[in-house]
Amino acid sequence: MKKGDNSLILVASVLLGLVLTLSRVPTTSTQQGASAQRAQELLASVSRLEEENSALQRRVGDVQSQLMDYESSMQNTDEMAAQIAKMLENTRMEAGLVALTGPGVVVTIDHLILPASGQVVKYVQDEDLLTVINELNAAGAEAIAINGERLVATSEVRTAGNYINVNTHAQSAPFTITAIGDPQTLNAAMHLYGGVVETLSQVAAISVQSKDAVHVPAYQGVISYEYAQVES
Amino acid sequence: MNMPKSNPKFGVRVVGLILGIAVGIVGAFALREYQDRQTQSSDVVAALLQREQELTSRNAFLRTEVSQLQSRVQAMEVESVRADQDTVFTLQELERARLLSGQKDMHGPGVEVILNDAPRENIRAGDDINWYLVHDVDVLRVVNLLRSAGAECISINGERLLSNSRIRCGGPTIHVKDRPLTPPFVIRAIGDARSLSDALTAVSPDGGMSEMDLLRFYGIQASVSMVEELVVPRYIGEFLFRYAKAEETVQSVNR
Repeated sequence: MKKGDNSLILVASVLLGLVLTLSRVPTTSTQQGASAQRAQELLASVSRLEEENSALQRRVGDVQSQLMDYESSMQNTDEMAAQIAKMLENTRMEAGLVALTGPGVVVTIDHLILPASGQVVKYVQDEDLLTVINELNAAGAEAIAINGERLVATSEVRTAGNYINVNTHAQSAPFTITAIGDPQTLNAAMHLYGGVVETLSQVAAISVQSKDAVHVPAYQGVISYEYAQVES
Repeated sequence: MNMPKSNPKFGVRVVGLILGIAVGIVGAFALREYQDRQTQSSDVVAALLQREQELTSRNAFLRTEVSQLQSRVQAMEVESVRADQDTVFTLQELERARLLSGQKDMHGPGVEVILNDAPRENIRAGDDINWYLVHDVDVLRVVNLLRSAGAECISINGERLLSNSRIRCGGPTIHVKDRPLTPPFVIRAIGDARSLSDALTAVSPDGGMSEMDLLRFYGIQASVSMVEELVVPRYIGEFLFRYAKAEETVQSVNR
């Protein structure tokens, strides 16, 4: 017998053992191809939906209590007028038409400049600012302004020549972004590992400061609806 | 194989045979164990999928409820004008503030942009899969371009965008606010259809590719079409001001 025969027998017997056992032990798997990654993705999605769910439940409660307030004031015109005035005040705040103060952060972004020559190596791009804003929003910012321009639903942040337009007004560096929210959360979101500050400091001069009080002005522009109409 | 019993190698072979079978048996159990674990994780996946579905339909129901309650609130406001003409002006202002804060369903001309991950067959082996997926930053850029082209209101997969809508990647979905959206991403914007469309299809100011071409360059399926009439629904979620306070001076000026 050759030497190879020995290993052949070994391989054959391993296979035999496998086959024998597999045929005896009952199958419990249906091989759905499920992976831990899929479970993790779903878990993230479910937790988002839970958050949305509790927010919606609170929202239902708020609107219901508003309705009850109205119902109890309906007989009294003065009271009803006061109720509506209060509603207007809240809605103006939601629309960005009211100046706000509160704790938050101030993020400053400037061109990347060579200290020796003062030469600009890299100009701040609109996308840099967009990234910062999106990150601040993700961290629960309640109101944001760039160089004093309040961001509303229609606000753009768009490079136009040497400037960046915000609410159609040209802004130049340094860009000061003020955001109201939990300073710790906002600051931490900026400093995530591989996050905004780490990425942007390669291409810009960026700094983040937590503040006890920051000021976010009201939206000053005029939004005219030329195309959009209220759906009845 | 007729071997003499005296062959000392015979014993070795028998031991080898038994060992081999033993290894096979152990291996088989290990395999079953692995498969069981897969089953367990597929149980978890099934449970999560069910929870996801429940929550999605529950949230859809809640959104309808909010919107119905809001209609009743607004009907009562209109009703009150009959009793007190002085509130007419306040109501007009209120209507405007609701428009600006995205609390009205809107309709009008505009564009419909559809972004989708690259089809699976286009992905070549060895390529970074990330190139082929729609990312939060892609959506952010498109939305920003639409805003600069004068979009009056925008929604993504039916979720109205506000100033503080966060658009985040999370696995295969993109979250707008906390609502997980899956591709294809349908972005609807009301405004001058031609300007909105041009903003995405025109060569960039620095002479580079248009946004649509850039997205397609990365393998993403991207299309933009001008639409005569489309609907952008209102924002249903809550507005949270836990930290921000109105500045008194400004408030009194506004009154």
